[in-house]
Amino acid sequence: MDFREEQIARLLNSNIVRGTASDEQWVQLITDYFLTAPVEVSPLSGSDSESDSPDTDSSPQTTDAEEDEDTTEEQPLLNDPVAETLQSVRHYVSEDSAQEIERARDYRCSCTFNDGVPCYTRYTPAEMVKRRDQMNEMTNEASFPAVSSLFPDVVNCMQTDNLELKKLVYLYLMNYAKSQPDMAIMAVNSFVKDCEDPNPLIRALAVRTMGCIRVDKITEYLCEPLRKCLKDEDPYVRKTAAVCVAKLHDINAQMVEDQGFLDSLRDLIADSNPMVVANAVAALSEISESHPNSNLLDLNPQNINKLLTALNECTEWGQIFILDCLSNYNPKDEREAQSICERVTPRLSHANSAVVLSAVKVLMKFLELLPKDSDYYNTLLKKLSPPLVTLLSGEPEVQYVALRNINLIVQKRPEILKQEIKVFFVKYNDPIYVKLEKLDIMIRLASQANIAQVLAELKEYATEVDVDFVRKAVRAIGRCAIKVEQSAERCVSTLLDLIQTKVNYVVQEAIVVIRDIFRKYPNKYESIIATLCENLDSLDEPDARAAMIWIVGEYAERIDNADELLESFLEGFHDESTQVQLTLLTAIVKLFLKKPSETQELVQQVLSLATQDSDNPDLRDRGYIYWRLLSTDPVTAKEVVLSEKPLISEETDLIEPTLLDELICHIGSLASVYHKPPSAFVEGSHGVHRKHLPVQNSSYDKKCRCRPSSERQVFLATWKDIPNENELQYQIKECHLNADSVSGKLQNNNIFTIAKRNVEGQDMLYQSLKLTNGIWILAELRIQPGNPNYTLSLKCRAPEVSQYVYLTYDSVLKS
Amino acid sequence: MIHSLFLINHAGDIFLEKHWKSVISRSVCDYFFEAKEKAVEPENVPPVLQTPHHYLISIYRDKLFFLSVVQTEVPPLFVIEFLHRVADTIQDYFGECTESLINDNVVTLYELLEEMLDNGFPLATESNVLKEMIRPPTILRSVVNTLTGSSNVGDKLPTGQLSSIPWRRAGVKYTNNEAYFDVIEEIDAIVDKSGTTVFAEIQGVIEASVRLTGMPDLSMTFMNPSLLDDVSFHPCVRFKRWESERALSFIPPDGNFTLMNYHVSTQNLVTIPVYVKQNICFFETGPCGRLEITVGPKQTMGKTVEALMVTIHMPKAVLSANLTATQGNYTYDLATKVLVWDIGKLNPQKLPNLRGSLSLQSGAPKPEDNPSLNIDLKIQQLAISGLKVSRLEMNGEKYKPFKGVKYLTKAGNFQVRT
Repeated sequence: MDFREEQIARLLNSNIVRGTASDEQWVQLITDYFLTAPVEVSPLSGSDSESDSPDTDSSPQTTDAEEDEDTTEEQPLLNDPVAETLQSVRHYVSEDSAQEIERARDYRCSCTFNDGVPCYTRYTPAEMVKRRDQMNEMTNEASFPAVSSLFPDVVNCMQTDNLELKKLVYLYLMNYAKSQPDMAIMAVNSFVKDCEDPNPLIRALAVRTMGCIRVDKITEYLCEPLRKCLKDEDPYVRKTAAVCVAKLHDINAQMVEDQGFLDSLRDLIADSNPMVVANAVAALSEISESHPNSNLLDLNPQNINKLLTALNECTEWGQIFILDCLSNYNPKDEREAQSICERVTPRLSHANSAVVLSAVKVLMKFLELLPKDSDYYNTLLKKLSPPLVTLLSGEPEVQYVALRNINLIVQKRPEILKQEIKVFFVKYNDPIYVKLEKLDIMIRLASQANIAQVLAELKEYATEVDVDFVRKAVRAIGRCAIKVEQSAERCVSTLLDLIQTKVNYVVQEAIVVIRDIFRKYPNKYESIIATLCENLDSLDEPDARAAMIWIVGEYAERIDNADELLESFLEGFHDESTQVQLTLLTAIVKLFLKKPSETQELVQQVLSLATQDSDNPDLRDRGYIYWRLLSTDPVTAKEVVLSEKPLISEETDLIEPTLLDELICHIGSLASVYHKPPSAFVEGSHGVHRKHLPVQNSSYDKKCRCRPSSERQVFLATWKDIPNENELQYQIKECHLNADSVSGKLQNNNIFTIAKRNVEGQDMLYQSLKLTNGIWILAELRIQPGNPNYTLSLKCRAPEVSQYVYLTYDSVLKS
Repeated sequence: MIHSLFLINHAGDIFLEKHWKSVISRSVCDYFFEAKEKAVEPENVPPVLQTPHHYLISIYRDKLFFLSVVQTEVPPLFVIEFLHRVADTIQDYFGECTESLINDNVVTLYELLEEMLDNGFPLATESNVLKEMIRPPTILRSVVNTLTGSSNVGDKLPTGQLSSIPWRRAGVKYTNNEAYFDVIEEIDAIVDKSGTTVFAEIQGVIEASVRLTGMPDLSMTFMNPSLLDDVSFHPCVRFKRWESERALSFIPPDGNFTLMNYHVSTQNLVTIPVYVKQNICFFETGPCGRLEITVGPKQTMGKTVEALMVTIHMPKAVLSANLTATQGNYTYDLATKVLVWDIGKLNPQKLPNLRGSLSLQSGAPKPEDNPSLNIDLKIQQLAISGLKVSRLEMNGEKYKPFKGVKYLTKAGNFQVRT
């Protein structure tokens, strides 16, 4: 039997058990049908089965039940009162008579409960089959599922005054109308009638259920009642009808539009009842999700005012919908933004965490519009912190979502939580998904002021049980060293302590992060290389092996037995992963360049391994390049292989600023949990209007207000991130300015130079700008002294705007 | 919005499903089972999962998974909060949230779920409103229903839902009018092995039990409201009054409810009531270790610490513990590796002490991880933050109610590292 049927069966069934003596015999009838799956009964079908049935006291009558009412009543054999009742009831339900149902009830009450114990009787399988066969004949449909065969009876029962029975009938219809669309039409009249019932609860229930019946034919008839209900005098009905529009839209979007229901919904935003407003907003938001380009919710200051009024009075769920809707609004100026913020701030004290987070979203978004030096801006920042901290004392699931969002908030506005690092300390019984997120945020918040505490914590975590967590903790120590220079020494000694524990995965992870520390602080901590080398044999992960090989190659001149160490890796060269092979190749070449006399054989060996015995093109290519370099021009080889490496960035896995801004607009949503824009994972949302943070004023090219410290890294990362084909080059002709005056001139027009460098006598200026619609443009301006023609390279995700940016540059520089 | 709900037991069987829109096949749960398999411990299953066509958002409560399926972008916290509300309602109606109780009451639960969501939109989640529409099952009621033939489904319009105070039903009447408030504070703290507090905060909650006739308007003021770092209120509390006067002014729901949650995190305000001296070590040689724990009072403001209990999650290698306790009993559960020392009342004159040896699996390496101690305790008649209610007044009704405020301090997540 279908699981759902079983549940409904139990549902209906236990109503009987509990003696809900409403029109319960009828209910039982369905129950019995439910409980008898067609497959189980079919062997018993036919006239023979009747006599086989052990429970024969009532079965002989079943046959005539449908045809002859009177005989049933007068059956002399009917001495069992329960069976008698059932007989008559089964009869009556097919009659359209409330009076007779009443009669049935009386029977039931007088007979069912012997000794106070409620009991109920089932039909025998034979009876069931009989009954079903009759139904089948009626409808001429052989494959009729047993459950839905009661449709006509059920529909008749809709007219009962008993609320519970009504609810059950509605429930039945919701589940089975789909399988019997033709029969479902029979219910329409009753629905329409119920929609005009004097009791608003009934009206609401009817319109609610009707929307749940996903049958096109029914839906057509729904329009009129729905239209009435949307204008009902009772707000309870109106709010139910609002949701019903969303249901209808899901079934037949075209019809909703044609019938003008969207306009009615919009009218409901001005409703006097806050719950109606909230539901209308919720329905409109849901509809607009499948309607990418429409501007369903016309957010004008007037509507916003209505929403803000409703916000205070509606339920917690309604508040979430309204807040989410508010976050899509772009206030026209800072004053409006501030007044909205003031009215939203009280929601931060709501007990429902979803309300809090939605309020945070609105505030984070509108903060963009407030002048940074205003008092209000700073007060608001202060107000944001306590509720975020409180979210972390909720259930672990709430904590998880909160942490994912805090991760974004910390990247966007680190000042909000910089004092609160302690709340992110890990408790040993936190679920692992909470632990990992907390760790991430701890590193982001680590600073000189709190590094001692953070390190002590990380060291503690590195001795925990969970391997993933321990690894991440070790990695975090390395990241702290790179981020907070003053702590590097302490971090390194902590890592050494951890290496001493000899726990395999800890050692390996430590070596990987020590490599990064070496990159960041060259020539500072080489004294520890000896300790690292002791652990050479225990390294079995490619990452760790590659890191160790890199260290040995990089510091080959200081390690006496570097050649031996590297040679030991060479033995199983072909079994190594590509990453290790490539690193090993480079390391040996480095070694050769540093100590050419003793290692010629080794380098020969590795070059031949890489070029001749390998089928990996990357490895082969690199091998050939080295080979040729070494054989043609050892000096250049040295320059290339031992060149100075660029510094590594202090912040790793920062979210790209454009994406971060977009995600900030999605705080509290699934996007904020996945850290992906909705277009990347929500089905059918391609081409959905991307959300952007509002921009303070509307001058055409408005520079982003990025934190200067990380700007260069961000620029670099973004530059790399944008595909090369998006790069466009333009010539700015006849411009006689030097680099500094160019930079000054641009700055006056809100284009700020992030970095400047001199390459082969040319000045390179790096600039970034962000347009009011959120598009980022990165620019590289090349100025050759003496040459009045500048080269402007623009990189942008939307290359179509580059042309206009170039024109702006041109006019700014020539003005 | 919320599309479907599946209830899944500890063993991974789906024992109830409810769909608010079209039916989604149970096979969608396979993704969840996969994640569950991967997480090993049920607590560690990530609450938000992505599948090709759906998103699965789940909570784990009372050894049951409440798994909801959503198809569109929704705020996950909204779903999580709702699922917790479902679990709360089950607890409220049936006393406990267990599989067998849910199976026994599947009808009522079904009716409840139907009322709680409509097409994925929350409809009625307030306990007061729900109880008006669907009466909770009681033995008495089922007998009465049996005799009179009435059902447990109310036939009235849930009036509360429409008034501006949806949390209170109209026409409440009591012969004894009483309003009791419990100020309960939980200490969350991490203390490191040297006894220094790494992190401490207090989670406070004011639970109310109000049985008052009519439409009483209560206001509560505190001696020292500035203590509170963050507050969140029941919807009944008027936020403006709190902003301006730091007073809680509200028309209460009828019955039991949480009036407010608060948070005290300023470190120097959080006092730690007990100290723990511990020494757990494992020897390099031989499969054994030593354990010694002493607990003593630190800052208890002259009150007695009761229901003191120390729980230790031992490393996997620990086979048994041979200990002596000067007070209380200890048990060591082999299967879960949990050592529980139930101390009871803390006597400052004679500090309880637990000492002895631990034996390890022979051949197992010395455990690397240090077990953490979890402390449980209770202090009656004390709010450890020092928060005090100064006044409780009632307006709007003529009678004189009984009023009372009780204080209680408990350990929340109080961990001592070793």
